[in-house]
Amino acid sequence: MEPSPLAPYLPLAVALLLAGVLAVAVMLLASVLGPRRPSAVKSLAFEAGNEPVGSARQRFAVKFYVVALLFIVFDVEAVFLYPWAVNFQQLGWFGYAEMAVFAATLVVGLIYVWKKGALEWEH
Amino acid sequence: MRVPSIPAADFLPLVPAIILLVGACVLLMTEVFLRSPSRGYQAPLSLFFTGLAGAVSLSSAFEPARPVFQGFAAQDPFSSAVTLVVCVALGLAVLTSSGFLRSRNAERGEFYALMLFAASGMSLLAMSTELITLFINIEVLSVGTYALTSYLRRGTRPAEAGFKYFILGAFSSAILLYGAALLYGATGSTKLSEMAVVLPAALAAQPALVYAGALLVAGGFAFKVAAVPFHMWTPDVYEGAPTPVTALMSAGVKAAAFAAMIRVFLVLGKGMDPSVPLALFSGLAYLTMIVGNLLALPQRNVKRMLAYSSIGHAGYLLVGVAALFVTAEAPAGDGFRFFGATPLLAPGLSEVAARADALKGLLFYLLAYTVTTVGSFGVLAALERSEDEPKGTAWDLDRFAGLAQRRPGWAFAMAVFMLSLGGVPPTVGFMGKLLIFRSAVDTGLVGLAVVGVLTSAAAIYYYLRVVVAMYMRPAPEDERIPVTLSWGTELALALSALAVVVLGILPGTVTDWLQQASTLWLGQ
Amino acid sequence: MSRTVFILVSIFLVIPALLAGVMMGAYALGGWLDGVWFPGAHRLTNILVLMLVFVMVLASLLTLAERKWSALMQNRIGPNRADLFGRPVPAGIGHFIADALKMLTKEDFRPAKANTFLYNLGPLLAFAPVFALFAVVPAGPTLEVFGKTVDMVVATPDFGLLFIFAIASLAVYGTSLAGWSSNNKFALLGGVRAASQMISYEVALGLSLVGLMMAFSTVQLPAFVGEALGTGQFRYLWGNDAAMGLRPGFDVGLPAWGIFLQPVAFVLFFAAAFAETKRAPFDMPEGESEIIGYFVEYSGMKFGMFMLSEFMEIVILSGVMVVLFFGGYHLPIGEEWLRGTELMRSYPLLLGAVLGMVFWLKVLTLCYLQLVVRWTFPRFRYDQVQKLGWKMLLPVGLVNVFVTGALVLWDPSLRLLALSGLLVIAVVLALTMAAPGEAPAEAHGEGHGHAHGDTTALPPSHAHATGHAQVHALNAHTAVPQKLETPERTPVAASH
Repeated sequence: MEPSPLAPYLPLAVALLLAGVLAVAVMLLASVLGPRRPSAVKSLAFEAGNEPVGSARQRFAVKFYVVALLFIVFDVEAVFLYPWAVNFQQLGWFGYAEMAVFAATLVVGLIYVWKKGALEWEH
Repeated sequence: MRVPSIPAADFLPLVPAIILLVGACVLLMTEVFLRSPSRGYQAPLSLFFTGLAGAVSLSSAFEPARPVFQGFAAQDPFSSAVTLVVCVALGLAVLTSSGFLRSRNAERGEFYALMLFAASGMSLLAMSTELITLFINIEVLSVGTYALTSYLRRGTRPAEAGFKYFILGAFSSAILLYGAALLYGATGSTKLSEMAVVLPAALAAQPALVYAGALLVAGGFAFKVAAVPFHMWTPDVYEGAPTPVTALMSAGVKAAAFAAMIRVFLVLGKGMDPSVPLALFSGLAYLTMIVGNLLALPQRNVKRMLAYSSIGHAGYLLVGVAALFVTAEAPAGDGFRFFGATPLLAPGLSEVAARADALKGLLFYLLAYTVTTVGSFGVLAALERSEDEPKGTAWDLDRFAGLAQRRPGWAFAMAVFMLSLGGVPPTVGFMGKLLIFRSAVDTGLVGLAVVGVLTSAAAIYYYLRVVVAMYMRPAPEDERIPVTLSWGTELALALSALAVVVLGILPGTVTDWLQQASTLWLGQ
Repeated sequence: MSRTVFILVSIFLVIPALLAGVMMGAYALGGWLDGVWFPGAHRLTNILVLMLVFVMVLASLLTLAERKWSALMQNRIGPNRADLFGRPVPAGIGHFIADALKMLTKEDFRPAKANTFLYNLGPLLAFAPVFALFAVVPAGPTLEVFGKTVDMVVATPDFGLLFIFAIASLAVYGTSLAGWSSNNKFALLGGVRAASQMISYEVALGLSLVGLMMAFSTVQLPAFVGEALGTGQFRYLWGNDAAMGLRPGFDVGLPAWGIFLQPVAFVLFFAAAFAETKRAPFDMPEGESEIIGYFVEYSGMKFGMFMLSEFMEIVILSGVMVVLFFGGYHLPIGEEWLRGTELMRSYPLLLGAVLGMVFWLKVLTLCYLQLVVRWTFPRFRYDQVQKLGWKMLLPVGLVNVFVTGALVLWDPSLRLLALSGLLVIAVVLALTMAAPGEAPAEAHGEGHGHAHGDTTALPPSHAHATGHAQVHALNAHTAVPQKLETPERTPVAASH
């Protein structure tokens, strides 16, 4: 029988499946083995021993969002770099220059973000 | 591995966009590196880059059409003309911005850089001949304008406008992308040139897929050009955005989106029954002309009125687009009679010539509309109140009362713009409408022409109301209306008023050039 | 004295022998299964051996090793109380079994206001992706066992390295979900910090390896390692190709290991990987002395899964670093000769045992390095973490990519790249040697500055003392050995 083109991925699928099954199994086992004695105080949120004040569903600093945006920009850049890097030696200096222009554009963005203070967490 | 070879000549058509991008980067870098708070240099600098880009696109206007980057983009007179229109709009908007921003203490920041980024997106959009490239450029221009819309962050209106524009814009982009995906699924390519080859076969195999894709793509574009079922965002966004940005949006974005729409549908129209795009665009044109102009009638808020009027003008442009899809032989079925579209070429007119005429009319109308609308928004920008006002009075008609006594120059310019928007001779607006309606009549789209003329007549009412307010109503005595004075605004007003009049009286050079460009492009 | 002997023997004899034995068994098992079932079935035994035996067991042992090591560094004894059937177990090895049993039998409660589904999904998503990560890491050579070709890797997809990036970044969902769904402000803060930190360092992580991809023109991990002489890292720069009059097949030269070609990338990758594991000095998301962490509301095994996945990450990252930067399972020198010897040719299992042992020894060394780092450096402040990620690692990574690119294009034989790498290593070593030996004083420098500026706010008794004197006094104070004679009372993991 001709092996399926997906055959090399079969062990990967098994491994991923095993990972999932193992994680679920361990959690189930723990919940079966462990005692279950919930109480009102026990199920309070643990905030350093005080009674929790207010909800934890709060807004948080906008800086985290900025980091997320930057991450998308530069991670996509990295993703663009991978195929280029693998074929790098065939692409030669032309490919190098092309990618340099691409990276330079993003570096302008990085410099801008940097100077603009989006990477500062102090203020 | 086959290394794709890209000849250096392929980069030449990109030069205008590259100039704009470099300019934007220079502006960004100087913005963050300069310590002094004065940003007076930004407007002249952006003007310099805009002028450079415009000059380059003008110089390459007559180069023969050729695909570049393996069919991902095209260099042709059409793209050059659209880039030129974008540069004109950008230059005038930049001129009006300098005073506008200074009076609002908002000079610092990325305003001009964003404008240049958006304009480079528009310029590239006009060249794109591949659906993904096209989508990316739509995003480039959209993201720039989203940010610009809420640039003056204080107050609720810019936030509302920016958010509305962003959400609806993202929605429309998604629709367009979905349509592009369907077309790709049907034809197996995203390049327009390859699609054109496969389309007849694909249409035979999966007509539903192709039609659905085309419809969705048209919907996405209709949003960007503010055609009627997709126009809801326009008044709020135009009103909430800083007025120079509104000018850029109403002229530049519209021009670029029309260019891309024409490119895509000229290819799609070749493959499918031409009566389908004809009916589609005629229908859009009818709706847009009627609804846009009717909604503009009751507006007392001049900015909203101009927003609705821009919807109406999109309708006139759509008439030109519809005229592009006319064929020599009568359509096979008569299923689309309902729209009154019985396209029959005028005697002695070849198909290509008729289409070239329509395209020339479109391009001329875009140019005419650009100089006029940017000018009128310029007057508005100078007149509007800078402080955060109770809803809607910042651009009230009363602000124009007695303007002829206070600032006769501005009043005259505004009157010229209003007449041009209304299509009164001897302004450029009249010539534009004339060209569009004539090509509609020539191609047998009489119904569209008639509705166009009727709605234009109705539109004169609300345009003239501004003129009446300026010339026949006394200036309010107690209120000292502060106006923003700046050389940029004055220059922009003078230039666009001059352009409106000169192009209205002597359109010959430009129409000849556009005729040549259109024939050159459609001829192949 | 006997303790030293015990440690030395276990390090140099017991551990290598154990590793070699298990690897030999793994090859034998794989060859047997291929014979009785179908060719390629050995991948299943590889899953069992590599992922369940090696990674899981090493990770569990590391939880103990970490406590022992920290105790050693802090002049304590560390955990030693867990007995097995009333008999004391050397090196406190009983503790990791006791920990596991304890976690399994603890009450599994959840806060009342938590979102049940997401709360349970958190540890799952933190654990499962990390567990699957090792699937693409080759731990040994491909051999002929019982007439069957057996390799020591679970899967060899074309996108090897990308699998690691992709799956590793899934773990961020686990932490941020755990932080958010617990409905606890500390947990939320920890979760948000963790997510932000992990994505910040993912960029540097991704960029750091581009140079290696360019040098070896691949993203497949086995291709990085190289199977035949002259491929991947199994080649010698300035090698003699058996022409230097030495015994044929004994090649001498600089092995083309990633560490020599890309030392900068190694430092970047190591730092970024460390931040990804969220361990000190990058442990802001859990900072046990301030916000406890995104898992504050988790008890029993659910917490255990977070902790275990952290230790598994250590093992796996060490494995990845060995494959990318330390030549995988290859010996630095003489491997070709070893492969050519009569003994190894007739008993390929032996070769598998030796090279597999080499791989795991390298992994253990890097694990040790990670433990040392974790117990040596103080925690960063959160702004410092972000600053390091974005303002240091990212620009350096970008520069590294393009400098490497130029060097590789200039000289595709990689010799220029190796020269520059050696130069960098030499410069770094020289700078380290030449640095004044008062690094701790420098570290105090900032605190000193603060103290100086704030003298007015200090009580008079402190105000007259100069900052320097204070620092020295502090140093002198802490330098007094304070051996804790009392052994640890709690047999559970106290470090978390």
